[in-house]
Amino acid sequence: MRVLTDRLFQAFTMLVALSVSIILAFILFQLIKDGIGSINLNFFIETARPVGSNSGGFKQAIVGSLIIDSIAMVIIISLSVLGGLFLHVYPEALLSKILKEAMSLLQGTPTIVCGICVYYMVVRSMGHFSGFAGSIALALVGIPYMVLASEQIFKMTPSLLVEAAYSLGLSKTRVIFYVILRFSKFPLLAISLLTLARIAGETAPLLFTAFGNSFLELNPGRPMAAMPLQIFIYAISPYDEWHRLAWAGALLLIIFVTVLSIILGRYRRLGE
Amino acid sequence: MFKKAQDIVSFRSIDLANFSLFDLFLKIVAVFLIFLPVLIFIILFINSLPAISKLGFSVFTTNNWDPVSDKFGVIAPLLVTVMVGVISTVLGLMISTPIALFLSFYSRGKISSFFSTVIDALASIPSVVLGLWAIFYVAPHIDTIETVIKSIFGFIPFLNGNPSPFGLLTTILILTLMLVPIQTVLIKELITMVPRNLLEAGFSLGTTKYEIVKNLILPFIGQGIVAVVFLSLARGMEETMATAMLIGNRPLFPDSIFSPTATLTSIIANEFSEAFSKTYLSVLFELGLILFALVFLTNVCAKFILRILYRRFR
Repeated sequence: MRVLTDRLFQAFTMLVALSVSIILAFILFQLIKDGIGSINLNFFIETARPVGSNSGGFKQAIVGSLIIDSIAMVIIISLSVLGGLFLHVYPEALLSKILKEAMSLLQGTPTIVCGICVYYMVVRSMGHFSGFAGSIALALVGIPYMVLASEQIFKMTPSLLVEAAYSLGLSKTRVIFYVILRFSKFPLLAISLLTLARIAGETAPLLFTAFGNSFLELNPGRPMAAMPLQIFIYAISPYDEWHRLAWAGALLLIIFVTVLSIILGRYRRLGE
Repeated sequence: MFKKAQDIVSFRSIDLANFSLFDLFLKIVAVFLIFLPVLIFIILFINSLPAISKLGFSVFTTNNWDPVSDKFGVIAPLLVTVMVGVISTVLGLMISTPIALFLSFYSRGKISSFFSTVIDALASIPSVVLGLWAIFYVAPHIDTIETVIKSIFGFIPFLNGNPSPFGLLTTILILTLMLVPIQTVLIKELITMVPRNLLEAGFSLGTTKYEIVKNLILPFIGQGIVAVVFLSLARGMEETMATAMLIGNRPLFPDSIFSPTATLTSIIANEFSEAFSKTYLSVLFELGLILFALVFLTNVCAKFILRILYRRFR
């Protein structure tokens, strides 16, 4: 009887796990089924077209996403590596305790709130929406993860190396540059890519900052399209043609995000 | 007190031999980063001041959303936000606890890593993609589910209403799906906190895994689960895109669990670019402020509980 209950419970837990996997398989299957048909050359080389022309693509969104995300990543990496270094160099200082709390507070901030704050700060003062504002909003979302993760990365530096460097008479700055940063090059790259995967799918911060654009725009000072934004706009539109494009965009986005985060699964838990 | 103040700005007086520009730079960046969440709060507060001074507490007493005549009832979206968060958290726990138990006790090797990958993949799906999927593959079928629920549980007042493809239920189901991976990871983490020797003692007595789970694991992680509940509640309440795409956007209190309504996030997402008056825009900032405070409080609760737990077991 006891063994039977155990077996039943095991079967139950397995069933739940299986059903969630089936749902995931379902999502992926339908994404591929509906998306693959619209991914062709036109999808990459054409910008948005009006409904009825039966063509059009995602070029402006792909390019926009690339530009917005790379500017955001430059901001995120430069600020959070320094923040992480500060946490690592002064682990006991009151300032770093406050910094940690502030980062977890920022981590908990709803992404749409980041969006409207950047709207007030940047968009209002510039007078129009811009891709740059989108980058700042995304940076606000990405910074806390990266700061906390990079601190954990720096902690992994063998203390033997650090002590050896100090005993050679190197200054703190040189130890940071020659030992700590050099040692954590690859893990830092990994968590930057993970942060990129995280922000690449974020839509809410871009709604009122990058705003979207139907035409190719290379100047980040102007309103710009982005992948998740374009998917959202097409998804809530009433046209089948646009729905197909939305599916194709979603497929592309998910290939990028999911593959990136599964490959780097080892580093996933850092910074949470 | 004096020493604390020194810690904040520990520049080690003016010792030029030891002074490093890089060090100073690090400190400036740290202060800047600390300033960010404060800045967000200040911006939200400044922008919601016009609404607060003009409407005062009336936003909490009116149940009406009529931007043309400056009537904004915040209480309905606020309650709906909490409700969506709570229901999907509870539903999510029912799914994620068995999965976490399965991953940590009933599976090993390849099976375990396969299901961990599934959970990771599910966590990494952007919410806008999940929303897209739900619009086309969940919402059209939700009518059938709702009719079934209505015919069985129709006697309960809140479960008796007109089925609609976009509404509370759709949102709750998708949010549950989004919360499951987060909760699973957290619960797995909690299970690893259970002392190894207790488990081994249990197994050496010849108990089955089910009895271990029921009598040892679940009571042990009980408090931790409360923290998980708060954490995923915060995640559920701040979720924007899927909610905005699925909830139906009718900023009134729902008649039933099927009816379209609106949460704080969905109102901001859908109406921010259409706000035509100063008060309207300011009210939307006020919604943001309320959301910020709500999520902050929830996160603080979770942190507090986790801190107590860590102190007890470490």
